[in-house]
Amino acid sequence: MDKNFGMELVRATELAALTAALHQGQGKPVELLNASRESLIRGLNRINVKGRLVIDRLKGEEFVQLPVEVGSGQVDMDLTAVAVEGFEATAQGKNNAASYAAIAKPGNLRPLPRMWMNMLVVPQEAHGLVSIDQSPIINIKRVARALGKYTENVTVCVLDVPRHQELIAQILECGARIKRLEAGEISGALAALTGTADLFMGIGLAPDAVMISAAIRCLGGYLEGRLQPTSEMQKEQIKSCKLKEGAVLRVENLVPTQEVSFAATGITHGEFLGGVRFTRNGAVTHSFVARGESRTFRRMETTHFFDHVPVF
Amino acid sequence: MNISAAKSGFQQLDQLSQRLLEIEGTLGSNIPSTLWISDLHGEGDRFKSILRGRFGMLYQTCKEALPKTFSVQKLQYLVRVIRKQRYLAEAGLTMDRQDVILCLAEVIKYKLEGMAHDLGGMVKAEYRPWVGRLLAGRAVPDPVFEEPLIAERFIGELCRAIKKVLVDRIMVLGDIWDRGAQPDKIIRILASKDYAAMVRLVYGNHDVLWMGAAVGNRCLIAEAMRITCRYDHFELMSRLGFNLSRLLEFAVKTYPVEKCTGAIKAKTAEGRAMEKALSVIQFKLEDHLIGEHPEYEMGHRRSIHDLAARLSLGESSDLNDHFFPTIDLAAPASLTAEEAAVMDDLEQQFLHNVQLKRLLQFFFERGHTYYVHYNLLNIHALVPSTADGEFEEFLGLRGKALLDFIDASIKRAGKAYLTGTEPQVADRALFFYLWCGPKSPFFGKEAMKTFERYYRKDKECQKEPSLFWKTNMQTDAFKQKMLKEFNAQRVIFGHTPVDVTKGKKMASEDGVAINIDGGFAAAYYNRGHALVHTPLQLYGVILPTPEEMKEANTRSESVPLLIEVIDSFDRPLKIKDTFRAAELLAEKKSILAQIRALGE
Repeated sequence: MDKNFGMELVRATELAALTAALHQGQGKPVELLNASRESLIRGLNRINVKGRLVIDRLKGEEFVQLPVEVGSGQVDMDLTAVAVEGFEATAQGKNNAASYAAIAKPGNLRPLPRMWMNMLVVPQEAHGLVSIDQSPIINIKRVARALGKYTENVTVCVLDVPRHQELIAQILECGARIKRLEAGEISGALAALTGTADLFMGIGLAPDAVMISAAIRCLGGYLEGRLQPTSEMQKEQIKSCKLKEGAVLRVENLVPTQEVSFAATGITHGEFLGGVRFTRNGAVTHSFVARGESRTFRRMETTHFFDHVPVF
Repeated sequence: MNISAAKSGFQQLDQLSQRLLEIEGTLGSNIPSTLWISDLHGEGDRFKSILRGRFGMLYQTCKEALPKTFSVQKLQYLVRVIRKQRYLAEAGLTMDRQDVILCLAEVIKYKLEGMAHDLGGMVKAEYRPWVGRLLAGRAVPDPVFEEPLIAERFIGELCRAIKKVLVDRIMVLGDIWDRGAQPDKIIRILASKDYAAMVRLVYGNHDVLWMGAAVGNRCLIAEAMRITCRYDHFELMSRLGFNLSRLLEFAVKTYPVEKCTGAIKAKTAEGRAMEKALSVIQFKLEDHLIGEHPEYEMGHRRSIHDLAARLSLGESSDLNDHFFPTIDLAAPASLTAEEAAVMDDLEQQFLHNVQLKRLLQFFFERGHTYYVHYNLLNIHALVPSTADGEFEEFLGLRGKALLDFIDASIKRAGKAYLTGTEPQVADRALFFYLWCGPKSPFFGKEAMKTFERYYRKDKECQKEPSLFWKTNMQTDAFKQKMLKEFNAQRVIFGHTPVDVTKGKKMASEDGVAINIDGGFAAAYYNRGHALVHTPLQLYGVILPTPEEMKEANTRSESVPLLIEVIDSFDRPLKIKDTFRAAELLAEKKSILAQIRALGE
């Protein structure tokens, strides 16, 4: 890409995060998400591109839908964005919610259907050593060896949901540590990529794998995933996306370019980013911006003065 | 420069480089982990059992090698794995096979740090390349960690390797012989291929007794046999192939059991008769030897004359035994013909017994009067000293020079014995003095009151007060004198048991003087001590009694060991931290000069 869009993306995620944070703990998830989505759209529309939002991970009449086209410029770009990952948890005042966005040249963010995907994300040191076809225990042990750790010192991020009961039991069996997340598979994967945890595994939303892959292009790491259709309709969706049912998807399948930028802003305190902290006359946000081409990674703490340039 | 000159120059450079790198490697190596034991006194089974447990070294080494975050329970689990040489799946403690493998590899790496090692003797050929890669931190094929059966074989191999590298040195501070019935078992273990290379031995007085007997010192033959009879160790003599029938026949005929009223300890009538017969023969033979060697200044120990005088003057109320049919009051030191025949028979057996020779070869070839192990002086008992804290003179020598002289004399006699030639008379006689002489570095008392303890009722005269070693070693001046004389930092010795149950400590407060005799023999405290020096710690181990070991086994628990930490170090001690470094650094300097000269 000729331009680093990361800094423009982060303004959008900051906006989404600040808005979501205003609704934190109010017990109104839909209201929270919709407000945040509207802010995100506002932010994305300020970017000087002719953007195409390739995926909207949520669909439903109650939700504000992300438009297909965003931006205020002429350069064609593909985008993917998540206003609030973990909006229900945020509405309950719980941790680990964040806003995310990624941008790449057209055709480089592969749209995935809305369905479950079994995912495995590990840091760069374990690149290619793990396999989604292996048992979780084998994968944990391989990551341990790659990181030079004892198995018991490996921390696995897993969403603490009923579908992961068996997976959690297997992790416990080999003695590894578990970080149980109430929400936020992207956040968990980022923790694994950046050393806060050691690997992320489990079943999450397929479109999130694209966001994670964009992050991997910028930060290094390894992802394998397999779509898990639960109905004939979902199988048809897989075909319509020109994917093979049962195929293992990797970063190169989901984000086939290094020319990608990624941005994230924490809403509530999480594994990877601090949450929004309101001050007397504004707020402080914690974000990061990463760029695949240069493999650079910036952590940002931004102070927003609402009395100077109000965003709301 | 022509081609052959250049080639020769490179060869020289390569040789010098090789040596230089060896020196650097040695200087950077951790000091060897060393285990000290002393005064085993024939307790073969206990020694074997405790040696198998490595005297607590396994736990300490795991603790030093593995992360500080590891709990005691986890370390104990790993110790159990290593001891049993197999993976253990225990309830309540989850440790993955891969983690066990990595932990065991860490322990081996810690033990081998900076040391040239060959896995050849440690690990089966099938696993050797992969163990090598694991220790080098390189990738190892996944099945090693992921296939349970292969992982468990690997764990077994690593455990065996740890057992082999755990101890680098075993320092034995003498007195393997007497009291217990299995000195042969202890010697065979120490001389076995698993241990021989790591064992360093200093002689104890009871070893000197048997060595002197073997080289033909007739006093000591009688003495060694008397002690054997006193403790009923006839099975030992039988294992060694000794035939005691002539002694037995003479003794039983001469000393009916009801006439053995002295302080005889043997349990059987035959044993008591032989013990008494040998005591009388011993007193007679000692009298001759003391008479022949006035330089020993042991005239006051011609006990047979004392006995004869009491018998002839009728001063017998102090005697507990009046039946001495072989003593000619006119010439009390003369052996009867039968006694002489018994001694001739025993002497021939001692001189030519092949099994005894094989056992004593270990002492004569591997033993020392003293041994400086890095900064540590090892002796069995003492260095003779005077009441005013000076080194005592014997035969015109004192201190290190005296011990060197004694060492040379023992080795000369040993060489003659092993090659079947006649030893020098003075060398052979000296063994007697070393056994019981007041200025002997193996004894430490004014006199050995064997006669008084056997046949006199007066308890006061039976006392054997110690000379000045113990009190001198409590003064800084004498300790400094010792360290300077032997170029050492600590003095480690045994010989006189320390009873920890009465609050005594193995080491002096400054850690310079360390007595490791914990009364291993059943005749003493039945306990024993060991001393362990790892790169990070110097500690004494108070060993369990057989009862404590049995109780622990019944409960399937580890044998309890009490630890007395004497010193600990912030970082692993290296060879470069020891006195040996000076010699190596001088050689390094010389080699570097030669290498640089080659370049000019």
